[in-house]
Amino acid sequence: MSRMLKLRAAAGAFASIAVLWALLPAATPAASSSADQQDKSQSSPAQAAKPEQELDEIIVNGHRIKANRDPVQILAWLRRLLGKYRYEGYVELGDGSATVRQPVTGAGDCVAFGAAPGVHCTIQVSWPELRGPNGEAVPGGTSTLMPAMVQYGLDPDRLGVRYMQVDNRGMAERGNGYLWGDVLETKSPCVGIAGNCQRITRIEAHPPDGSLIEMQVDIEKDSIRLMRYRFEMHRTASARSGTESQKPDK
Amino acid sequence: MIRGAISVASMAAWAVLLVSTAASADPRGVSTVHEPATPEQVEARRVQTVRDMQTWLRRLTGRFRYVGVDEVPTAACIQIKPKGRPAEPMKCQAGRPRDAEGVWDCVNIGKGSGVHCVIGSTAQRRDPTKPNLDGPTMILLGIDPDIPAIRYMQLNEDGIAAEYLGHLRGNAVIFNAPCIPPEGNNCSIEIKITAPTGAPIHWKFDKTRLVFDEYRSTQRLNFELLPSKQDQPDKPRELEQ
Repeated sequence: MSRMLKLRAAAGAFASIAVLWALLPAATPAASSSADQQDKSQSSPAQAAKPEQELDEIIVNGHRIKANRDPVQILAWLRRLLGKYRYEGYVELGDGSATVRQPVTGAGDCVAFGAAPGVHCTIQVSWPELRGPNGEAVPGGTSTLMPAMVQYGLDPDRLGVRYMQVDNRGMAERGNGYLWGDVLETKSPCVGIAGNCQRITRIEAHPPDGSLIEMQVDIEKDSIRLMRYRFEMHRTASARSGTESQKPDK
Repeated sequence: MIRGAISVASMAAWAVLLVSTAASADPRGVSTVHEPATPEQVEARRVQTVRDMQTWLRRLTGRFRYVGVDEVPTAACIQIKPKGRPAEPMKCQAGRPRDAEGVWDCVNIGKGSGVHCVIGSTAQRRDPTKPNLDGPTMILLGIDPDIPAIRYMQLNEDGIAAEYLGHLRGNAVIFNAPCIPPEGNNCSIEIKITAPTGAPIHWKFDKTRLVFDEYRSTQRLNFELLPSKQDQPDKPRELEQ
């Protein structure tokens, strides 16, 4: 996740610069001198006696990250998903005031479909069941990924990635998004949760030699996080083609 | 204050007028205004539609062989415009129908109604730049309970994902979507899957493209899915847990 955070930090660099510019008038000599005078007048005699300290130079470098719209590179990224995995991680339920974290276990198998390829995954992921105070079902309290299937493919309209997941209740979650470096980020409306709810998915897949894929799904309602699925997918076997293995007999 | 009282009085007058008009619209004096469905009724209807979709999806499970016709237009349209005379009507070559057959293999996802299908075709692929069913294709079908509708995602050999949203109408679900580029904007796809109980599944794929905004070019695939000898569709198979 560290790389993902770096990317986010870099993407936010422009925002940081904008904030610095906004704060700049306060740093102008006139403004700073009046601020200094005010500070000095409010500071204790002991502090006032201290020599003035200068801040170290702060350099902010920002560069805009663009979504990768190259179909060849998008397909290369999709190829990184192929393989068999052991799932670890957690599912976090709650809005921050009272969160409960449940450990995740499971396995997944992602196979290539076609030459490009498209990716088809079968997953079996579970966590200890969690219910409400009166024994009622709560969203995300029970795993619906025992099993589930996910398909990932190139979105030729937007030059991004499109995916769809169908769980063991038959419910479909879908999304489309873009590649930002090694990270696929998608946003889509929630399924089964009313109101202003978004499902934000981030999948970080390193180049093929990497043995770890990190996936994070946040369910946010009115910008408040209700759930987080944090999956660490440890590769246990390399890729195989699904075209041959799943093609029916002719 | 006076203006407020006037506006309230005028609103009341309008309300009386509307009620009397609605009541007098029916000669029997019975109001014909339909009352909107209550939230409970809307929710009950949604739940029932989701159940119907689950039942319908389970009909797709099984191993089938499909036979049908794949009609692809040549898209060779000619319009002659002689000098000093009005243009002749555009002439387009008719599509060439071609027999198509293959295997359609669908499983349920767990105990749910979600369906995963692999379609294998024995036909040779003609145009690798266009999405079609000549090569093997994967399909994932699931329910969006909020709309409610059936979502259909198709993955072809080129790794291209196409997504459709379909609504249940009787025994059929009709999916609509724009074509995948580079077909252009004047192109749409309609997929109609009819799956009655105990009868062959009928699968119709119509891709309609407007050429010069006048000629309608249609690619039509018409398949009947028949239960194969190896597996009967009456016995739903599911992905092992």
